[in-house]
Amino acid sequence: MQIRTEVLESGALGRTVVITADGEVDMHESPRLRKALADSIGYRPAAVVVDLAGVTFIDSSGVATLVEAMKLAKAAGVALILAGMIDKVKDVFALARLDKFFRLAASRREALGA
Amino acid sequence: MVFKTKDLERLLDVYALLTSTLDLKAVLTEVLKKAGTVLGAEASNIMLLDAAAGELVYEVALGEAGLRIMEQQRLKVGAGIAGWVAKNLKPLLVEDAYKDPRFFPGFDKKTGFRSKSIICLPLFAKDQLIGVAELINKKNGTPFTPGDQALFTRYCGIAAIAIDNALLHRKALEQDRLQHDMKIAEQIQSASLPSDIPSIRNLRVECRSIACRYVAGDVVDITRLADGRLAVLVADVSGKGVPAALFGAKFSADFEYLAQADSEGGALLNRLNAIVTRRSKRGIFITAVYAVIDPASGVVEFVNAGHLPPVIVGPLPGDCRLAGASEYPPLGVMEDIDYKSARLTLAPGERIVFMTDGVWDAKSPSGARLGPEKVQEILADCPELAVPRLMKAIGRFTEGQALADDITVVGVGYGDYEERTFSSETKSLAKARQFVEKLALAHGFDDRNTGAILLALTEAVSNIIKHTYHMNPDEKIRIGVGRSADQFSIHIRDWGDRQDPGRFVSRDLADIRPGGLGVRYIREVMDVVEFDDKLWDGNELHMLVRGKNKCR
Repeated sequence: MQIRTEVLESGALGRTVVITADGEVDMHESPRLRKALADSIGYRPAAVVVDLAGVTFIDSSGVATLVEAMKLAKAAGVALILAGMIDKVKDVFALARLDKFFRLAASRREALGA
Repeated sequence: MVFKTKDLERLLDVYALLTSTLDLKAVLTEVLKKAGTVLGAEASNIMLLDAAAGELVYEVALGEAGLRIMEQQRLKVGAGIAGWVAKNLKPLLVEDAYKDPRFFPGFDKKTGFRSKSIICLPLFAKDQLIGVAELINKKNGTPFTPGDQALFTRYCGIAAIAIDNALLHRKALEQDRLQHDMKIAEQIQSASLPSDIPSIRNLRVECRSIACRYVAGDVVDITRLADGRLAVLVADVSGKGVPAALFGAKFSADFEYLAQADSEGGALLNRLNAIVTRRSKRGIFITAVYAVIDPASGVVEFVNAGHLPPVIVGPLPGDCRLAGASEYPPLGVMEDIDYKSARLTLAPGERIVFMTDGVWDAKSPSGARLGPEKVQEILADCPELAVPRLMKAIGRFTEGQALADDITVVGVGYGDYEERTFSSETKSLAKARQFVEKLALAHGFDDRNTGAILLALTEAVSNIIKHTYHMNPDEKIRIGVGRSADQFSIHIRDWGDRQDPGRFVSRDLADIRPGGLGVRYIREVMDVVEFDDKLWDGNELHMLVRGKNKCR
């Protein structure tokens, strides 16, 4: 899995960290995503957008990582948006009835413009 | 009889010894020392009864001649004063030994000691003679009195308790040692069971074996022949426990050796029969079924020597047929038998199951027998899971009670089947997905449904890495994938500690928190999820999807 982090100083959401992940998220890979999320939220931006458009697979460890980040962001007053999930990744959230729990955007662009 | 207070106090001191040591010699020495002091005896000894030999054995002897007496070691029951007491179970008080015809002066001659007055008492535990105690000669030269005898009887009561305790303790130690040896034997036998079954494309091979008494008289061998076919031997030595296991171990070694030279069933069983018949003692015999299965065609060549007929189940639930009853007697009964192979062909999706009669004979607590009809019904219910379901059913039927006989079951499924073994590293997850993804797509699942299957697979393998192997990357995980017209099955095997099937209960979805979702995913995606904890080493998870493309 590739992870890229960038900071956008201005925009509709205010100062925003965008984390872009590509590839597969499983127990082997999720610790790196967890660290990127914790670092970004710790930076206290207005929002963190996780661009998952390039993620082809996610398992429960990846979902758990995002649930944990959501709770962390909420406590820190940071908006967390998951963007661009392909159907089979979205299915994993839907199977656990977690699709309603997250703020989702169809794409990175939609997330940043929201 | 009146005792002096001082004598009774000394007696109480000796009682205290009983609870402080299990060292028999120490207790008996102390008993004799105290009794000797109180009664002013020159010499004393205690002999234990060796009932099997009909002899008394010197355990402790005190006084000048003590060591020399001990050298004599044994005395026949009935010989001499002590022998008479042991034989007649009565005490003796002898004023002058040389005037008593029962006295045997041979010991005096050997030891140079001169016996005069003797008290000799039988020692009893639970009304059984366990030995004899003697006091010889009063130091003041007078003979022992009935009062001395009464006091010595009290001391001997203590000696008898000490001996009884020590014998019980020895027996318990002996039993512990025996149990320990049997456990080791069980481990040795388990290690010789086929654990890492050869991987052969198109054949899914499963094997289960349970001993009813630590070690089993069942013999099982599963080998891949040089020509790529699979050879299976399931045999049952008559009798149970250690004798059957030892006979079976030798038979197993002979089989391995002979099968290398010529694996053709008829010839192989003829040679084995000759060996077993020659070696058989006390009418011991072996029922056996030997089969060679071709993974390319499903052709099974088999010989049945007095064994249960193999059962063939599938491809559809409820399909069941028998591979034909045995036409030959067991091995070891007659030498001039010409065993010959029969032949049948498995259709894709069929599974041939070999078993020993311990399966039919499994008993419920009320004494009911599982029986062949019920066994066939269980096997046919879900052919893909015939073997694990049968083992589970046996466990439920017997309610965990001791088995009546050893149980061995070998199942060989024929059809589209592949397996791979991966290391227990987290990076194996991606490799495992690649292996299963290719097969799921080839089976006709679309991208989304394949994704769901890969999710269940990843969750199951992650569970093993995390919970069974505790993140140790040096273990192995075998993944088998079976495909039939309307079914896609994944079997995930590990060799870790036995896991609790209760772990496979999924959590409530209202409970939103990180973790604990894996089992939920597996159960959501798969139609059948069964955790198999009836293997002798490790665990296996079976997951089945029926039909195709259920995701929207």
